Amino acid sequence: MKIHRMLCATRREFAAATLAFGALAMPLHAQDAYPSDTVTLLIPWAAGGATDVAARAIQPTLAEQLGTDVIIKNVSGAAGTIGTAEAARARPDGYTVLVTSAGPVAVQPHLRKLPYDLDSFKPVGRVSLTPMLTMVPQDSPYNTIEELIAAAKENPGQITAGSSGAGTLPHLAILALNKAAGIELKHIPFQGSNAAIKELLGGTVALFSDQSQSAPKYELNGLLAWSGERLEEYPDVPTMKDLGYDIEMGNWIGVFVPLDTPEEIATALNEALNNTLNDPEVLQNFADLLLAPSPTSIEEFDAFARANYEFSREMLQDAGLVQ
Amino acid sequence: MENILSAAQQLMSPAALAAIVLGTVYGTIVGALPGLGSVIAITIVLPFTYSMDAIPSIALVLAIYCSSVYGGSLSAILINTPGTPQSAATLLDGYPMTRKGRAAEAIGWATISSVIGGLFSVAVLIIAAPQLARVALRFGPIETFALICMALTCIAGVSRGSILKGLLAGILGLFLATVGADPMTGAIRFDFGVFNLSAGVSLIPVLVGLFALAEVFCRAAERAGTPIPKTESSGFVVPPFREWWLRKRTLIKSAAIGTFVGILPGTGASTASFIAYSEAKRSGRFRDKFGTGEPEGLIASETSNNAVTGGALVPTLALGIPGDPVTAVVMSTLIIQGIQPGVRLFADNADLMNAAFLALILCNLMLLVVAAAGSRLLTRVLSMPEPVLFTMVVVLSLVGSYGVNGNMFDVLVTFIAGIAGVAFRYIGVPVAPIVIGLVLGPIFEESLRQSLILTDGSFGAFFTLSHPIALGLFALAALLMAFAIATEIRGMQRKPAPDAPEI
Repeated sequence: MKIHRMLCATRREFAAATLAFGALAMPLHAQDAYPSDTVTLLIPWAAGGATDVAARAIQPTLAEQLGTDVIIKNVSGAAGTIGTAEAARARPDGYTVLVTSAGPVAVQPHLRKLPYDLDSFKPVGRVSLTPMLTMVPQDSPYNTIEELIAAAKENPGQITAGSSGAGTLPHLAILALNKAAGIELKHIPFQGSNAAIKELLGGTVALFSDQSQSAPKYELNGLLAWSGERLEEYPDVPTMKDLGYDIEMGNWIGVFVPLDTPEEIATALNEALNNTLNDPEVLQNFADLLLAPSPTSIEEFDAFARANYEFSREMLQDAGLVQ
Repeated sequence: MENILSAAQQLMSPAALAAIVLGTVYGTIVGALPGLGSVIAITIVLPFTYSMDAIPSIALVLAIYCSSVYGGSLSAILINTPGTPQSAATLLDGYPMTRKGRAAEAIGWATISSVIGGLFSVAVLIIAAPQLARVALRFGPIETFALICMALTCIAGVSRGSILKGLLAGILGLFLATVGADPMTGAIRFDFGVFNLSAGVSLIPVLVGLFALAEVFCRAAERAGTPIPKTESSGFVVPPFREWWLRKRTLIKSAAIGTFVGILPGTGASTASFIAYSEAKRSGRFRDKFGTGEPEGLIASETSNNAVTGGALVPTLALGIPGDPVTAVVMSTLIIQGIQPGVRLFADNADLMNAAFLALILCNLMLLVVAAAGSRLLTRVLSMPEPVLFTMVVVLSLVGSYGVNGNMFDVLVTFIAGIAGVAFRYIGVPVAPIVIGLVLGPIFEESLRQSLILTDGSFGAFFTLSHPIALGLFALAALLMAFAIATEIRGMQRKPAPDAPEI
């Protein structure tokens, strides 16, 4: 009797463990028309990060669109490269789908030796594209980007610019601004955007370039937009193009499958993704999360990702960071 | 008063109450499972919250947050495995109590300490969040570096036996923390061509290996060893008030330390519990018994790590800047519910915030109920035959270490750490300092190097009057270190009488 009850307790514990691991389990695939089985969205970032939250916002609707279960698997570590490497190794059957931000596919391959490259993947489509904005605190001595550039020319290496880590978009923005304007900003990397914004508000760094929605959220002033056109919310803030530099940058999240995945599977995924990004509930969630949905065709996204890849190589090469 | 009543009214819906009860039970279980921490617990329910109303979903997430931090202490006490890194300091005295057959009592101390720590920090959050958030902003890289220097002096506090071996173990931990990507340049260090090492050595696999697996290996090796005395399945024993009164100073201090460390973004509950533990070991009434199953050690660790919950919500809510992944997930839930944390939060969403505060208080009280109801079942784990118990511990440990990053490599790390843990026991090297080194290493290095970029490479610039907070913390760190060395020297002089009380 006692033993029996004991075993029940054990079983209950295991049931709890199994339940908790449901979201991480690997699916077994059948050979029928795609998709006939659970699709795993592999996120190369930890649960709760920006990419993960975006993936979870599309997860239920994407499952409806595909007519199958969609689960999320987080494989984090080494700036997203561990999970991305796993996605590159996955069977090219469309059941393991990489959802990632730019870093692991378009930037990290230039910075270190990796078992994959952008060419290891077949692009599926873009989830979101959020414009970038160079921001300063409200009490900053710089009211325009021209003032900032002039001050930086007078005091080379003295004005501090934060980033969310080496090889992140905010870091690339510093490198691009340095190169374009012929200035030298002092770069201090922090672990993630939140840490960088904290130091911006606390006065440790003078400027930080990140998604434009952070500006109203933290009551920051925008100095420079990195989008192709001026931002609707900041009609007075010049773009890089206005300053005469042909540079465009934005935070994006995209979907990839391993290179050898059949074309029709990529097409099916692209269609389901784009329908998901038109769903009113998803649009509302994206608006709340300050993400701008940005559906593309496979070809558009392919060209976009490649251009991004080349741009970051150029920036990092000039900064002497390419390995 | 009216606000509070309307907040209470909003919370009294069946959905909100169910969210608190279920969230607490679920959070405690996930927290107790090694490797699965608060972040995973909350992210699993995240998709559900999208379709829930604001108040129930906020209550659910807050309940999971508080209870998962608490849950980690249960496995630390019962099976020498911290369920979450936050509870690493809990096992130092929690597990020895279990080995003496006082598991139910240990759970009682841990539970009530957690509740008190949690409630204290919620009170601070309610009263002074906007003001304290401004303090958090004044903590730049140099201040953070000073705080971590102070925290590193804890290594001396938890090095029982030989302070030299403890320091070496601490350095080993700091070294392990440097494996992987350089935080400043992204360059990969010490990977020896192993791709998986480029992600560094994860904390949880090392933690689970050093404590849980090493314990199992050692117990299996000493077949004739002393069995763990049976704990009566009485569940939850509330320690008498008199016993609490004797330890009140540690209780209050630990609550304050936890809340304060929680407010500073990027430091975290593990740091807080080690600081509180070593402070209690320095100044507590029963400091000589620390490490042998002294409730005061449990109080220090559990009060402070749960006090971090309210503290960490200060910058999250008042600035919109979450300090760690857990509060980042909490914040994204709030945002989905249309609440934008930030400077205007308390003005724009007063009603919802009052309800959230009330929910936090209820969640903390709920821990008592869950512990009282569940600990009878939990302590029964200890009456299992040892082979069954050990098998369970090994399986949970390995599953947990896989779950952290979803990577089999971490399972290998767990095994290696387990074998190393056995070796360390035989040569008398304390393993807690390794954990402290590994916890503090990344933020130590990062803040140091950020500071050096700021000062153009000058260490001297750290110690100027333009950084008064840092100066104070450096001074405190020096004092604590001097105290530890003095205690050690006195201890050596008294070697002939090892049982003589200190001072």
